[in-house]
Amino acid sequence: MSQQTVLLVEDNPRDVRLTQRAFKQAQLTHALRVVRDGDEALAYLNREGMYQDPAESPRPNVILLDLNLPRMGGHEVLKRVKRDPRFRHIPIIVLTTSGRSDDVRLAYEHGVNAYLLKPVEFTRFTEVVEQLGKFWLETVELPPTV
Amino acid sequence: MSQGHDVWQAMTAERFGPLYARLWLRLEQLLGSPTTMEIIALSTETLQDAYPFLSRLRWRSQGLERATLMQAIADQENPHVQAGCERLLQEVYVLIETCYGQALALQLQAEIEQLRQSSDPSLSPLTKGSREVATTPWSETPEQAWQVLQTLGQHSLKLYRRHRDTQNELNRARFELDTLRQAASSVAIASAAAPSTPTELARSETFYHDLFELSPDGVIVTDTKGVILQANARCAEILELDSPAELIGCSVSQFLVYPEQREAFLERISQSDRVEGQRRELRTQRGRTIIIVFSSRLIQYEGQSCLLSVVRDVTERARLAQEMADFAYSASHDLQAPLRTFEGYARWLLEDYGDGLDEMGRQLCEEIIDDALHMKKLLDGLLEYSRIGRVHTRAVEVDVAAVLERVQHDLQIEIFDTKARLMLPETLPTVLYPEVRLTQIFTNLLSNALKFTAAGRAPEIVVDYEALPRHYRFAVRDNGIGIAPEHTERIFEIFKRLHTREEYPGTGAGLTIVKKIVESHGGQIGLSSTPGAGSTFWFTIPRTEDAP
Repeated sequence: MSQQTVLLVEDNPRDVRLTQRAFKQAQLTHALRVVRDGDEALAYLNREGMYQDPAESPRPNVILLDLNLPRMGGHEVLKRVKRDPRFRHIPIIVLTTSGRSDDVRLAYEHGVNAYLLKPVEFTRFTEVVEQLGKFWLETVELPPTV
Repeated sequence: MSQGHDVWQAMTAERFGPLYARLWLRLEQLLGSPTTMEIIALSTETLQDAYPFLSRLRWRSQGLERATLMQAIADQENPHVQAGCERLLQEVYVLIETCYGQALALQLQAEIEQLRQSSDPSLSPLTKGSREVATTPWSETPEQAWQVLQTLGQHSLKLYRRHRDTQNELNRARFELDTLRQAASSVAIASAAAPSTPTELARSETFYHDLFELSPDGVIVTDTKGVILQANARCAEILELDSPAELIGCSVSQFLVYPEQREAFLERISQSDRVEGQRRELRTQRGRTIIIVFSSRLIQYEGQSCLLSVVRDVTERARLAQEMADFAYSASHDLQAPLRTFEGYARWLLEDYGDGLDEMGRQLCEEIIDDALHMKKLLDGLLEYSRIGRVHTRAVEVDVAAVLERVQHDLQIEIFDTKARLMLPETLPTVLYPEVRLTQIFTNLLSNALKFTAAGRAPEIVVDYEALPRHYRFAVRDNGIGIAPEHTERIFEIFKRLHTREEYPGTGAGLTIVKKIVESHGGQIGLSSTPGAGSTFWFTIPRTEDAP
């Protein structure tokens, strides 16, 4: 049984660092792979460029997606992944600072599996990550990765 | 109501009840119940202006309903009632005399008076012997004579009624004529000061023409079908036409992006003669979509009912407002990202490297966390402020009592901690408003009242409202520290605070948000305050949904 993989799509390195710390504090031992924008996310899924080695870039069990990304935005990434028959089964959880209803509605229209707000307070962020991990990585039955 | 009051009412009913009963009985015997009803109704009508309570008496084919006499005089003055009841009798006698002759009238009067004297002689308004009538007992009058009398009486009643209606009509016409005369004379007085000579008249016409042409707003006259009769140059400019002449004869509907809005508008103006501050999207001659606000009046123009409207192009203003709101939104949003780093890293430092820091070092980390979280609140305030104008929330029927109950529930910890006493009115109205916004207003006002409390005084907060003709006026009164008059304007400005964060926590966005909510829904907000004694914040909600 291989380790479960979470793909984090996040452009802000400091946010990446905080998310990694939150994963650690929430005692989630899953492999956290990080890509920094939408193009990289699609390249990762398509095993292109630097993501060709399946051992280095395993299929993610869950994708954590920021909306505010440079170039191809989070909504576009979401739309493309959810349209692609090869990847549409992968649960995508939006993790963002945007609480605007337009963003929330659009994300669900594109088929997001959950929409979470990043709290400013780190202790609360850790709680959110912990809940997320407990539910998506420990409670639910995930589709098998191909 | 005093005891004495009840007593005279009962006595009056006791005194006039039997008299009216006899009156009814006798008239009904002689003239039949429809005619009797008619006589009573006519007499009451004659007296209705002087003694309105008489109209509240209920007469049925069995006679007067005694209970309605008690009810009708319940809130009246005794002398007024005595006079009115007496006048009703007199009026019936007069009517009988007019329609059936003096003999019958006198006979009826004598019988009623006898009845009155037998129950209480002191009460008869007639001194003994003043109107001694040789009465023929009713039964001795021949049957045929009665029939003739009845028929004649019915005819004369009809004539009497017609005569009276004509008289009323005449009086009304006279009154209207007087009003018109007065209006005409005041116009004459006004115009005596204004143009009276042809030159002056011409000058005045030029003046109004210039005003019409120079107006920075579009001025337009249409008939009630929407056909344009007159428009100024600015109007043509707004609609991107070369000359106002091109507008004459056109229908306004052809410029409306949503022509169906016109029907509701026409309905409204036909009810109130005026409509203010309406917002519409128009398509100009060149196909550009613009936003206008306008106000209209129903006027008489060249002999027909027309609509005079003043139109302002607010496209640019709306665009700027939108841009501003978007800017505030994205600014507050993007500014949050670094805050997460400040807060997260400072906490990280404390947790993982705290042992290596001295007391001062740890204190500085704590302060970074504190300020980052405060700034987050400031940004939330800014975000909320920008959201009010940007996001339209639908007005629904809201029960204010339910809103206050929820707010009270949300603030229960503060209420408990401050030992506050919150007093709400027994009844509260239902208003047309976005529920979440009304909740925000009350939450802000009440939490302020709970926060700015005077030392050593438990807060007493009174919520009250007045139903005024055009709006509801709600007030939240406290006994807190109050606000000096020179600061009353400032407290509505965003992030402006009168105290340090250590004295009273908060961001200074709350009242700004409340003001924006109230004003963007067609209301007003204000306060009165006595420093050291307390403040009253009030705001209004339009009773009809006039808000743009």
